[in-house]
Amino acid sequence: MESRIIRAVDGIDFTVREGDCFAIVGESGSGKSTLGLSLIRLCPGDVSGEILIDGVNLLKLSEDEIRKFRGSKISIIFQEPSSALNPVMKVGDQLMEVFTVHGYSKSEAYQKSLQLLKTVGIPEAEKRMQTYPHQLSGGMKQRVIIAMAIALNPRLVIADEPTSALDVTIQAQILNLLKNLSQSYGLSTILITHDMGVAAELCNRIGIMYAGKMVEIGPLNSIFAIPLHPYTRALMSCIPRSLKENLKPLPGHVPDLSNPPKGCRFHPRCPYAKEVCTLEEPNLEKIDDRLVSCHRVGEI
Amino acid sequence: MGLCYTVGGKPVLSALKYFFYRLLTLAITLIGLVTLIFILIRSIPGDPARVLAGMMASEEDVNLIREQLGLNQPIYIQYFIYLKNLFTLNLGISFRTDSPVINEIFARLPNTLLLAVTSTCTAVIFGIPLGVIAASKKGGKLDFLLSTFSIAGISLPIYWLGLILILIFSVELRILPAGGSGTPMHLILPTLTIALYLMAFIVKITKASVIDSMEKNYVITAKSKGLSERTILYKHVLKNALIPVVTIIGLQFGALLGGAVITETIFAWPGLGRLIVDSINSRDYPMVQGSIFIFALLYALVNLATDILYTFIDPRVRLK
Repeated sequence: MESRIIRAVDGIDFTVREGDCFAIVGESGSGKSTLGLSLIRLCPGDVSGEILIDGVNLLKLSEDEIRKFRGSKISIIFQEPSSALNPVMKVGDQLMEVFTVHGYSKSEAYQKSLQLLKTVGIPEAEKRMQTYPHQLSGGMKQRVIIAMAIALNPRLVIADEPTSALDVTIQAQILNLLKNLSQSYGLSTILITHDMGVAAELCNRIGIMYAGKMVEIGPLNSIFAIPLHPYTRALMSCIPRSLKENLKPLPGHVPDLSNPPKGCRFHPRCPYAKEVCTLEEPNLEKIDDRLVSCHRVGEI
Repeated sequence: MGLCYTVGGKPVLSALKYFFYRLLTLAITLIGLVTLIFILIRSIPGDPARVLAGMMASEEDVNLIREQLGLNQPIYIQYFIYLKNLFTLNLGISFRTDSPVINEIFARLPNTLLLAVTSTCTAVIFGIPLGVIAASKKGGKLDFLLSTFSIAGISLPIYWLGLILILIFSVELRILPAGGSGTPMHLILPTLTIALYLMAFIVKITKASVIDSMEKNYVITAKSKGLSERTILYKHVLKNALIPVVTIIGLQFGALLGGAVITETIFAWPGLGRLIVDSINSRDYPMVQGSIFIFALLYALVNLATDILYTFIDPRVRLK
């Protein structure tokens, strides 16, 4: 099968292969949500470079053309299910819109929406079609949002912190749902998260983002086994492994992106930083099966 | 007076309980209000008996009138008689005209209602679409024009606007009557005066509310589904944005029911507003108390109606 390549640019390229799940992991403020919105061209700022889906550059499309792409070829799942649904519109109507705006008739849209609600595990689908968002729980709302995102079997689904606003038990259910859907639909997904655990649950490739840049990209397994970039290491040591081990929080915080530090953007927080790190910005270098941007990657 | 919010789809109060709760708070509010009015009107300097008898009347005549009006009784007795009458919906007899207060009020009420309805409708019909246009063309020339208009409309005093309209349409163009009532032509200038102010207000509130709703997350969701800006504005944003606008319209309409005092005075419009002013001037206690009581009652009822209207716009507010 021909693998289609989707490429986003933020100083660095990354690709998501068909049926793959790519995780973008980073702290809050690292620019990952902006990246997500930019991919679907809903970021209020300017985006330059190339976003390719099936060879079509989304940034070259007219406003009308990108609108036809949204929902059908590329879709997005948001973090806050409560605010992502229109409070004064019935759930069914909001779901049916995805179909009607892309040319389906009302009755087709109704049937397909009903089917979708069942697919995402919402009981009493007929009844739910007529309810308003506030009558659903957070988990149910997120299922509705997921239904909207997969409705037209898009080429790429962006999931921006899909479980962060939910209770832990619900989080697991939603993660399972996403996992099952991406397997049965063969979805290509970009998962944006701050949680290495969530990334490990769903994805096979992972990109670590820091201050608007990718610092390490590679297969999940090898990054989890041997994290190369000091920032990846720091993130990994934030995951509790046992009750006895103390958590090692990373000191400091993500720099202000309007005035990023010179050289490597991570150097002010990096325990391994040397003079070269404060002067020169490292490039992404290929090391075995991954890309890493660190001057000291061979030495540490 | 709070709204009845539902929690997880279940109403906090049943519709019937809610209605009785509202009636009870209404009754308490009204009793407080009539007491306040009773005290306030009596603390204005001036003696109604003296006003009625005239400046030249003798002290005996004034005393006689005072006795006829019951003003010689201690003030708490007057208060209890007033409250007792109120419970039987007897608003008393006007000092000035000797006819029942309720008749005088009902003679004026239709005029006030008419003016309130025509001006509110005019303001809503033009104000909401213009507000939406201003919001969707934010930063454009049209928005600038509409914003200037709405600032002017809100800040220009009504008496000035009324006089200017009279100057243009009655004095210069001679196409509309400057005052009085009776024909639809008489209605136009007072309606216009109130409607321009109200419309400016509605344009401003609608614009702000639409812009605010445009920034909500569900708008991004709608965009991500592939909906056009236009569809999003009319199908998603407008209904959300109208919720605060409805509140403002309800409050303003309620206030107009008490009579637009200045407008009615400028255009010699025989409504409640002028009745209240005339009654205060002649210290006609029963008339002042009666008309303010009726005004407060209407105002509260309009508020109740606005809250009920909410349940149709906002599904999160449900009575049943």
